[in-house]
Amino acid sequence: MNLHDIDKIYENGFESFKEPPPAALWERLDNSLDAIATAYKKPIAAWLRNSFFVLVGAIIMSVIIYFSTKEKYFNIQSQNAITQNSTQNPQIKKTISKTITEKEDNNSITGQKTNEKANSKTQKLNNYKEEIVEKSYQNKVTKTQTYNQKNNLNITFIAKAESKTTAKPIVQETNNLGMIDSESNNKQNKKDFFANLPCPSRVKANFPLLEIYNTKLQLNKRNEYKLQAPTGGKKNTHITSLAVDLTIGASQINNSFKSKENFETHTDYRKANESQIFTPSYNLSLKYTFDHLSITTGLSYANYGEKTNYQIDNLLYDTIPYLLKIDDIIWEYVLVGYYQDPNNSDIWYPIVEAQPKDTTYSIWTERDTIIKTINEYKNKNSYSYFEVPVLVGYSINHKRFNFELSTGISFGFLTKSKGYILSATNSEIVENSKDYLPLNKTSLNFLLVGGVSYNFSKRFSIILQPYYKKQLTSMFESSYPIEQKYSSYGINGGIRFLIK
Amino acid sequence: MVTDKKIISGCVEGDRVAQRELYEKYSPAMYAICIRYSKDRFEAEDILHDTFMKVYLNMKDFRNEGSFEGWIKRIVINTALNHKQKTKNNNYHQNFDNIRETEILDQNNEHENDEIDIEFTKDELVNAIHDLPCGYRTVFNLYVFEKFKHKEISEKLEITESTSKSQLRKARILLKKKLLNETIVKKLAI
Repeated sequence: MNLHDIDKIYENGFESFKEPPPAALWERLDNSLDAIATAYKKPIAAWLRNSFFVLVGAIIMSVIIYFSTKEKYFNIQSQNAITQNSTQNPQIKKTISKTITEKEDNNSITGQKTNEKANSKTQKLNNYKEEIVEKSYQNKVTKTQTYNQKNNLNITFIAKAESKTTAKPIVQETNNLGMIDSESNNKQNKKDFFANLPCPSRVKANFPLLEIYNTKLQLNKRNEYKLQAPTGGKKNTHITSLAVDLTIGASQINNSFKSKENFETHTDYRKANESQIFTPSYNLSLKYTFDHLSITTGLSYANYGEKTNYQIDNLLYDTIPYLLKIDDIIWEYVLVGYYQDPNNSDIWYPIVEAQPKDTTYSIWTERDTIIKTINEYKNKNSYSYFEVPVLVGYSINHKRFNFELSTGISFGFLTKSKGYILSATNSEIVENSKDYLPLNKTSLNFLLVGGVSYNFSKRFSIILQPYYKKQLTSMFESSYPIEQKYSSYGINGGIRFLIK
Repeated sequence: MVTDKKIISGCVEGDRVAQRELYEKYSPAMYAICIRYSKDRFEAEDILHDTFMKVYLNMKDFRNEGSFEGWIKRIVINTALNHKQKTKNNNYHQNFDNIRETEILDQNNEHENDEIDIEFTKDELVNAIHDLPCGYRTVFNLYVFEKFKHKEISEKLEITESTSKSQLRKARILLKKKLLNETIVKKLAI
């Protein structure tokens, strides 16, 4: 039998070789498939869970803010509603119509042009509406005064100014109502204001009267009052708003390294063997706008990380002893033990001893080489953060669109990390956790956020926000020789709810 | 009889029945390959397990362009080669022990021209191949069964061509010794 017969024996012997595996193997596979199925479900569940929490948080926050601020501010809309209600009243309508007709007749005598007449007509109509509202309001006040006196009611009410900073209470302790009708905030007018109140009352007004300039108290059936800005009154010179944004987005993550010491080999290797990933982000933010300027804060859930494809060489020295012929003496190298590389636990060197051998053995003319094996570690690293941004921005409005640009910082808190990365010495793969790596628990980021929103209803807008984010602090503590920072750019989309 | 196409589409959807059918259909042939590449049946089971997990998880990547069995077979072989790397340390001592026998075998050249008139059972062939050092077994499998050239083997295992040739030769020597011993035992029994 020569050596090549072996090939034929095996080829023929295994030609139709099949053997059913043990029955237990399917059960093992079945269990593994179940485990995989569960593992695949988890990220979906996490997405749903996180989205749910963010959504519930946004709703709760919106409701709290809405109701806590609702009573604090002027409700301009309600005044408009009064006007509309007044004009819907047939009696009032009739009065308006009659008055307008009389005025028009007078105007027609002057012989002005038709356009001027139309403008004048509109202006006058508005004026008459205000008069009607005024009368209607005074009627209500009189009726309520009568009612209160009759029932001996001691009414306390709170009226609030337009902005939060100037919101101070007015307390009226009698059963009479006051009409705030001051022209300015100087002391004399303030004095006049109190003096001109329609009935004896004591009013404590700690806020600048300008803030309630030309405002009126509106009475409702429950004896609660609100300050109202009447139609035609002097408008506030500043536009302020408060909004809640709820957005979800995706971003591309980039990783940058810097070697503090001589670890360039490590950083170069990681640069070459790690690739970018896309990660989701969830954001809930509160935006206060004062004219064109805005301040934004909130809470974000962001992920960073990378895909790794490390290939770690394992050098296995062939342990086969060999024969060597030197000066016609055959030496045999015999393995007597093993020696572990102190710098790399994966490498074992054979310890061989040379022994002269008088033999007629065939001499192997080639020496067996080092067997190099490569272990592949494919993995996806992930670092999850809760982040609190603080941004200042500038925005402009155009019709229903709003364009904005904000910049600032965000504070991050590491909540979870998973995966494996190459150790700084390139010798092993270590778990990506605080137990094995000196991960920084916090981070500081620079943020640049653009945005465009489209207002599709009175309170709701669709928003789209491209952004750039860069970590200013390293992922690792200062003791670690590698400085690693992530940067990301992406886009968020969602809705904006205008609280006020 | 359920066709491969139906089984594949079922597996892509994660249907456990389809996965079981696929396993029942292909596991005997694949297990045989695993046995050839492993040192024992326990290791073969591990390789087969990993193979089918890879098959199930990557089923969507199969493009129906070639033989499905061929695709699984490639996965088996790659899994077996990866498995070999994982268990390298265990093979260390085994290599040495077997090499000592090689020297003895070289002295027994009297069997060179013996005619083999006894057929070997599957178990005998399997046992002989299991006794090979891991590296020899791998090269022997790739060369004899998968019909790889030495150049291809050297690229796949990242060894030199001469190492591949050397290991194939040594594998054949060891197998020959094993089988001759079996023959002698059988002849004596007769």
